Amino acid sequence: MEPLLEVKNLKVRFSTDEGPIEAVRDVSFEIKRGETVAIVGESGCGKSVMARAILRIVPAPGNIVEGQINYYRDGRAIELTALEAKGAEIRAIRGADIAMIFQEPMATFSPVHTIGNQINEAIILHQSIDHAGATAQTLDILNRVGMPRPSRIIHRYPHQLSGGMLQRAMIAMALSCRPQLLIADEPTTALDVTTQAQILRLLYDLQREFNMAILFITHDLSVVSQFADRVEVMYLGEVVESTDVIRLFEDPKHPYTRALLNSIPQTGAGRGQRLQSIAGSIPNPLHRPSGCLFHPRCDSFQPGVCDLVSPKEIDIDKDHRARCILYDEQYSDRVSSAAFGQ
Amino acid sequence: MSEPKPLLEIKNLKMHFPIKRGIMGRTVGYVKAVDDVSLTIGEGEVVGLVGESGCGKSTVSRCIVRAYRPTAGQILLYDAKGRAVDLANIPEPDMLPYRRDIQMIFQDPFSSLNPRMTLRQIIGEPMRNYQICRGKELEDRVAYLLESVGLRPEHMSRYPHAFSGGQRQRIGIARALALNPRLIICDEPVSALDVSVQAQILNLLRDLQAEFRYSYLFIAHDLSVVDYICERVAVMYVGKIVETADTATIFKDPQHPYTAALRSAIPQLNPRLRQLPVPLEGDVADPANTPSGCVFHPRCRFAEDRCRRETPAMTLTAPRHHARCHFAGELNLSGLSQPAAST
Repeated sequence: MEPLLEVKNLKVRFSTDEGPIEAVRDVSFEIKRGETVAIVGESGCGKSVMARAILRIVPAPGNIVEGQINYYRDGRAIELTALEAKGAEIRAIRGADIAMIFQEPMATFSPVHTIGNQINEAIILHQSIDHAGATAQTLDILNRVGMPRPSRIIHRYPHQLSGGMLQRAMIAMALSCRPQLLIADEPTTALDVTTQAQILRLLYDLQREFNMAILFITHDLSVVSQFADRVEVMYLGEVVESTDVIRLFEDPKHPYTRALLNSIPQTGAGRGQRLQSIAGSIPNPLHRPSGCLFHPRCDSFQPGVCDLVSPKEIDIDKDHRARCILYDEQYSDRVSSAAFGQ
Repeated sequence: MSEPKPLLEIKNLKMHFPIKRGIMGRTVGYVKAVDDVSLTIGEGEVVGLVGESGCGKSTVSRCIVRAYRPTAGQILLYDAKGRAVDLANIPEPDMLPYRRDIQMIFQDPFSSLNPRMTLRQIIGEPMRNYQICRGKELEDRVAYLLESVGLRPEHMSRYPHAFSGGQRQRIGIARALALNPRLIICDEPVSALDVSVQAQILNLLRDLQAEFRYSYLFIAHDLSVVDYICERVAVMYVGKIVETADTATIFKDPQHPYTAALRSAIPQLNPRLRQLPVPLEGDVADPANTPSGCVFHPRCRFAEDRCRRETPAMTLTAPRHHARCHFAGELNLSGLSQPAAST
């Protein structure tokens, strides 16, 4: 499959009064057409900033300082980081080629315009079409996302809809211009489990219908296991492991991925057993640990190596990379074999 | 499992909030946030209360601590000699001695701690209020509490902003333990925390319970968390408890279609078992305008005429297992609750 989006050595820096924060540092990955890539990580890992960098909507004082983002359209690469952030070119891509849905549907819609007008606006902005035509398209797309009685919903204001319905309306707005890539930033986190199940199923079905790629950003590994083709695990701005979903869950390599998988309570499994927890908490991004960012919390920590050396991304297998010295031949003599046993 | 001695018995609790309209403040209806809830928490027992947002689970906890005055029903708190006092109906000032028996741990560790108070003040305040100790003794007790929740006593003079989310949740737990309560209400204590920190807090809550035999009312929307920590579970839907059973039973053999749906809505942590089931269509019913008969019937795939007309009663389907369904014990819910073959 041909690539649709390619992120290369991306670095996003926020200049704050207390000092620069590198929210994303040296992140590379690609998304193929029709594929679902999940970016998973905890708060502060840079996953949302990364997603916003693609659309060039990184909030101030953040800036893309290094790297490339290539978007492929009709066999031609468009370098998104080279475009003017408020220019016509990126605005033609934003919302049309690449659309985004957010965690808080309540905060995404304007409270003073009807749902119908807001979706119409997106359609009119990107297509040469009159108001009546746009309304017809809005009704059609609302129908497809399973909205009950679209002809009444278009006259409603956001506060009159439930969370699940608003999330459907937001998906409808994102899909109204048939994007090639949908960026979904924690789309189900604010929803109840039964509504989450409805929305995930809907995204899955629409993805097949529209043949679009999805970049799914989440902290929830169980959603990842059900939804993604490929997974990038992020920690403090770096991708620490990158592979397909089956290998990630069955043969995780990075100690952070392993620990994360072990710390999730699961129904039925191991009732009455203690959960394996990860020691400590996520460091303040202003005070990054030296060497490997995860070393203060890692149970495979190798003194004298991990706290000094920044690990490189190592190709462990075809399409399976991890940023850990355990897999770096350069340090194989320094790593005790006990570190692998878990 | 033998029945433990009851500590708190909720009987037919109702909390109806009036909806007022117009300049005269005329009452035009009621939001039935809690409608006829009965639940018993035994001495040293961990009971889970689960349900989706708006089902009334937090309202139940607020009625227990009398943040709300219930519309009807009883909340009986038993003392060590088995004497009961009805917290739902005693006058507000008389609540004071009972408040120390019931403490709360809140969901949001950022808004539940006063940013202008040091840890010493936050954790010491309950003990000063009840004039349990002061001065050096108070300090020692705060240090002991900090240690028992895994924080360093030297940090006593710091303010909450110096701590991470998980550490703040530990501070909230230390405050709840300060008065040696008998019942601790945990209202979604881990849902605001990062995944890697959740496990620490769940382990801590469990260790404390094992050591001091506290009773917990554990409120959560996440069934896997409830499964990990609770002995018994009550499932709520639109103000009513629809099923109660031992934790193992409720996951293996649910009798109410809603419980089964909730169970199957949890994504499995296994990419080879992909199914993306949609166990329930539609939205949760509006508690201000509840459906006739069984509140769950508009979303239930087994609904029949009777469900639209008659409100089902809580029925015993097995020892310690109750379900509020006309067809409890008769439905085959296994297809809903077990993951189907992968697609």
